Amino acid sequence: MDWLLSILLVLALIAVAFLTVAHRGQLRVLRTLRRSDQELTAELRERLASETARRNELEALLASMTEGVLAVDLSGRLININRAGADLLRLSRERVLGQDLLEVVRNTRIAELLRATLDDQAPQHDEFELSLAGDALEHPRMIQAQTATLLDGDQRTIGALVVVHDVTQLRRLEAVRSDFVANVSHEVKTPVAAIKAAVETLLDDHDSKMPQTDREKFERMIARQADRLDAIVEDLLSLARIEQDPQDAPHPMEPHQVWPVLEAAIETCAPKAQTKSIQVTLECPSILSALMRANLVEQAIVNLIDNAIKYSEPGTAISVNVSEEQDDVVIAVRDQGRGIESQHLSRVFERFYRTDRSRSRAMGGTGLGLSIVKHIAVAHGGRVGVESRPGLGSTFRLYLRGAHGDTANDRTAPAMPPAA
Amino acid sequence: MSIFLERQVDRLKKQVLALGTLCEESVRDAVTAVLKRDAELAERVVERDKQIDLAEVDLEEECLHTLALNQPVAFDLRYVVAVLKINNDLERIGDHAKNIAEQAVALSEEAELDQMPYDLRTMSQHVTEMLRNALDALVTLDTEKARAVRTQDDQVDRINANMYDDVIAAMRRDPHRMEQLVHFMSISKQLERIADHACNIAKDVLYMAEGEILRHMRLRKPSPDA
Repeated sequence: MDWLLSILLVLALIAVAFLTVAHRGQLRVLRTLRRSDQELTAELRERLASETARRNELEALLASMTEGVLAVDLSGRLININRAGADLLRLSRERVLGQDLLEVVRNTRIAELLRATLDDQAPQHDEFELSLAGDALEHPRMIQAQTATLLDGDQRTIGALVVVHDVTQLRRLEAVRSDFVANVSHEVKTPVAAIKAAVETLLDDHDSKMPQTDREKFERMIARQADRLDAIVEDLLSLARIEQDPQDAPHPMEPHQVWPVLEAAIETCAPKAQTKSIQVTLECPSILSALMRANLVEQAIVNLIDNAIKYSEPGTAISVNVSEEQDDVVIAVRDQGRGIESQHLSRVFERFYRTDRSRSRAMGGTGLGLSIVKHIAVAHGGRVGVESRPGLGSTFRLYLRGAHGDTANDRTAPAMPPAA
Repeated sequence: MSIFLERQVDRLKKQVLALGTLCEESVRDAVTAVLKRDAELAERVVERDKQIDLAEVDLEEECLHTLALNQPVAFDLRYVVAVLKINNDLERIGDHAKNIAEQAVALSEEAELDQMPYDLRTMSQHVTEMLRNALDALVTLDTEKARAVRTQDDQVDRINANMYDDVIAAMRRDPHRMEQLVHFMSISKQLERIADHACNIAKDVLYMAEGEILRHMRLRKPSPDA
């Protein structure tokens, strides 16, 4: 029995040993497996992370571009659009992906550009107007677009890429500049030519044979033309100041009582009015306020009164009336001067426009006065208007946005005593 | 639906959208030409009308093709029929835009009026917006947008109805501007017609979309073409 027991014991031991070894082996295999599994996971995670990082990097790169980037496939469907592109075209990125580009941006020029890019397999470039929902008709955006073909790893064309850039502001500034240069050079050249001629005449007079009276005539001419140049430069500078973007303006628009501004303007013009014994009267509800930059509005009214004085006969009257029309405050400057022919009416606010060149120069105008008034009105979100009957007089109106809250009261201030 | 039909409908959609875009731009450019007194822009609109006419013929042929060869049913049939009708409206819109552009050319040769006899700017803004909404509705089959077009039409009609009084008053004030004022009267009329066509497009879109509802009803009681 004992041997049997010991054999069994030995067998059991062997079995245990075997099992242990086998288990160890299994464990080792398992461990190896687990290790490789862990390694694999880690590696995958790493790869995934780097892939994500790279994608994020690309997305960030696209997202931080100021140019809009759109990618379309061969059938014209939008496969990617960056944030700038979506903002520029006022689209929601999520909603438009996968849609036909023409469904998203209805513009024939973009469509043509893409077609040309895919047909010719060559980059294209174009600039066009784009009008989006809510844009004012007369102020579309100018869009510059560049395209290129999209290639995959095997250099096969899989679509096209469009880079869009909003150049509205840029083009507007360019137009302003070219107009400016054309007009300024003409207007500045005239006094400069006169000064040059006078100076040359004086210099030619080596032996001082010229009579004193003639000499003085030339000197006065130089002084007068220099004044003219000075006035033009001064007006140009104020135009430049008005044209500043309202956001950059040093003094923001604020509600301001209207009549003190008008009174100051009339005060400024009083000496000129006096010399022609013209009466300037003011009628303005004292409680009326408008949104304005007071110094600009004062300048506009000074320009209007100054014009009125210039074109009025001595002894006539000029009236400044203020009224309310719906939400607007309307300042009307009315004279009894010679008036303006109807064909000129629509153009008198243009820069350097003159109804009668020789005459208005003789009056000392720079050709910019009314243009300044108009720009001031526009800078206030308002407008200007003119009515005139030749021989009977003109009325210029400046429309400003009323400041609400205290405009309900229509109490009228007593008419101001005549300034002259 | 067969893959051919699907492709064909897709093609129709692209084509009608391309035509719509052309018309939309023509209307916008035409009124801008009036407002800005830009004869050159107006000439471009007149020129573009030929392109619109050709596109209309192409689209009509494509529709007839689809009907004859693919014999669409249910929604697809509704779609093709609606596109046929919209095609017509778009071509008319193109014609009206051309007419406005011609008035713009004439007006640019006359002296400028200090004041428009009626609020052309607001009217144009409404009309272009209506056309935009109608085409947006066509793209997305958005019934809400389609209905918005019809309410906007009332505003345009109101401006057009008051226009006569305004123009006549302006003629009394300024008889030697009669010619310009007559042009403005005609422009208002054309804009009103464009607004009506935009309304028609919106109605057709509603009809298409309503077709979708019908299709859902048919799902409950299957028929061979569902």
